[in-house]
Amino acid sequence: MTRRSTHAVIPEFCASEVFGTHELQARLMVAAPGSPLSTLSRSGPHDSGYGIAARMVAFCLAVLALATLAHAEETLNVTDAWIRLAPPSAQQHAGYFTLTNSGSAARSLVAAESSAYAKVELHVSRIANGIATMEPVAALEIAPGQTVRFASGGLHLMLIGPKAPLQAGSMVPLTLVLGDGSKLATAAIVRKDGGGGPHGAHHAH
Amino acid sequence: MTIAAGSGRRWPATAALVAILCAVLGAGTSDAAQLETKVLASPKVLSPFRLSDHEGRPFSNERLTGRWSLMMLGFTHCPDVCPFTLQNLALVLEQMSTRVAPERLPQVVFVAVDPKRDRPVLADYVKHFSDGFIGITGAADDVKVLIDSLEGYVRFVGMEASEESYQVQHSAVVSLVDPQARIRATLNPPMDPVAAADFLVDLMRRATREGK
Repeated sequence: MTRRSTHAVIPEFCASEVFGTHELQARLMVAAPGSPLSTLSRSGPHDSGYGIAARMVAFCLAVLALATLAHAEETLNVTDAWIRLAPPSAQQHAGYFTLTNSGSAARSLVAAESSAYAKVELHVSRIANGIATMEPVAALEIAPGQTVRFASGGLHLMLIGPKAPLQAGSMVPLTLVLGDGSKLATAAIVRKDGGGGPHGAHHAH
Repeated sequence: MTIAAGSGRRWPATAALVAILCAVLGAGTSDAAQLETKVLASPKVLSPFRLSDHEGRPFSNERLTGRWSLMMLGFTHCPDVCPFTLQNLALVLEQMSTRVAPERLPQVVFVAVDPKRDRPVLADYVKHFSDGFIGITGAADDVKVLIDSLEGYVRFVGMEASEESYQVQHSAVVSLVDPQARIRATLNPPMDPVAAADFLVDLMRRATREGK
């Protein structure tokens, strides 16, 4: 789960702001090499052995916990997923989407997968003092109520090694892996970038 | 299944992670035309350079004379910023084409700074964005001459780790070069296509009128 990453500090103008998109707060987590990305570990409700009543209570708690989990999963939505149609020779494509956390708990995005590519990485581009740079992102936290938009010049997926040439209009399966191990599946449409600034990409939808 | 129900809710402050809060500004300016430009007080002549275009034909200062050019640095393995900027430039030209004669439209010149990986795919790459775009590159030293002349910056990152997947940090500006092969102005992407077209047409007309 740890990712080849950097120790770099991503300054305040990071994410997509360089290209003028408007997110509320994006907390990028850049893992130190070798560090665990998550410290999540807690067992669920368990049977304490006090008889049938306790078992029933435990059962109810478990159901409740599952319901909460299901609810939590629903509260993180991925929309507007798209991949920029790249020149036929390109071995590295860029993908974008919008993540909205309408729940009451922070969520984190730690990886992405696609059966159409050999490898997918989370990256952030930025332009500082007129210089364009790009680096991997280990994890991205999405606070309750927050919408994070992946966009050119900011957060994006780097999709490496397309298994087949892509055509405009085709759909590519994409799976986002969250910090709690759950996954969000979506389909990204392949299209030419609007290129018209921060809003160009949105208008195609 | 229940592991995350209660525990994934907060990232512990003590987690072995560096967490950076990126506060986003700019709310309310979303509809403002976006354009950052710089006009040089006096035009800067580009030093002599000798490269070749995506079709293998020589490309030096002479090919910049007699018409306006928009030049940018980039590399073909760049998945995000370079394709965005090239597409952005295509839209800027589209806007300009309604206001100036075709021969007055600037030529877009993509200076490929990673010749080893760029050369084999350069034609395919630039034509993807527009048939009229020109890609130029050459020996690393020769490319460096033009990078310096454009007051650009290029740095290769991670080359020691991977011969294939290294990154290239590079200047993101677009330079407006006049028909005497001199830099007149720079524009920072992203460029609002209409605002950029206004800026460019205005500057070109003024330059022509003033005969400089």
